[in-house]
Amino acid sequence: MISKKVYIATDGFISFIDRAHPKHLHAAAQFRYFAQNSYQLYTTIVTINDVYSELSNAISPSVAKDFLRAIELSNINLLYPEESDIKRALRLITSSQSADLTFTNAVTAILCNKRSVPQICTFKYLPALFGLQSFYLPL
Amino acid sequence: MNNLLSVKQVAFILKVHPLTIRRYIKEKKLKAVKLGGNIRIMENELENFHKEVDNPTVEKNAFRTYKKIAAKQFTTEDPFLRLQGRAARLKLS
Repeated sequence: MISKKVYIATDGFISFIDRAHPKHLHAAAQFRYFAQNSYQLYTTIVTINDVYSELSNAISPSVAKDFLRAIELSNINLLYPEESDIKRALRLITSSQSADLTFTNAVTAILCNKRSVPQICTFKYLPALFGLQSFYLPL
Repeated sequence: MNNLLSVKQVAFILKVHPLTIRRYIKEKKLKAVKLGGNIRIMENELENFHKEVDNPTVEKNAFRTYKKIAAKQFTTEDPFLRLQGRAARLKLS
């Protein structure tokens, strides 16, 4: 059975909001698919912070505020890392040989593993951690 | 009639220190009676305690239910969908 749990990464949110983003149509289609099929969407407070900063700097602070308002009312599940998760993420980064592994990616992988979320909605390169895979729209 | 066991006997059965049994009694985790100044535990009370330790259903299930309730589903009426294409990044080149 295919899992209906998907994690939304920073670029997943940005591409949905920013209509000039090259992947905007793709992201819109993905969110429509999630809504129609009653998916459980997850994100972390670290990702929310990243999206807020990027929207505020690259687009406008009012759009960033609208994003926060929408997240507050939305059914997207927010995951909060505990102290142990942060420590695990730091250990993961220091022990990893890959230079592409960011703090956000490490926290994401750890929280997805904890909540059994197998897929992530992103358009960027994803380091292979805990079997986490990118979400693709079914044909 | 139920057999009465001393603190030492219960500690031996449960493989813990007698002080642990006294603590359980104080915390009301294990029911005991006092007979002439001596603490005695009824055998059926010990069985009940054993069952609770073996399967702590209440707390674990409460956590699981909380987790299940916490996972919300994304629907077509979600306010987040109103943000679709809300803004466009300026490309200054």
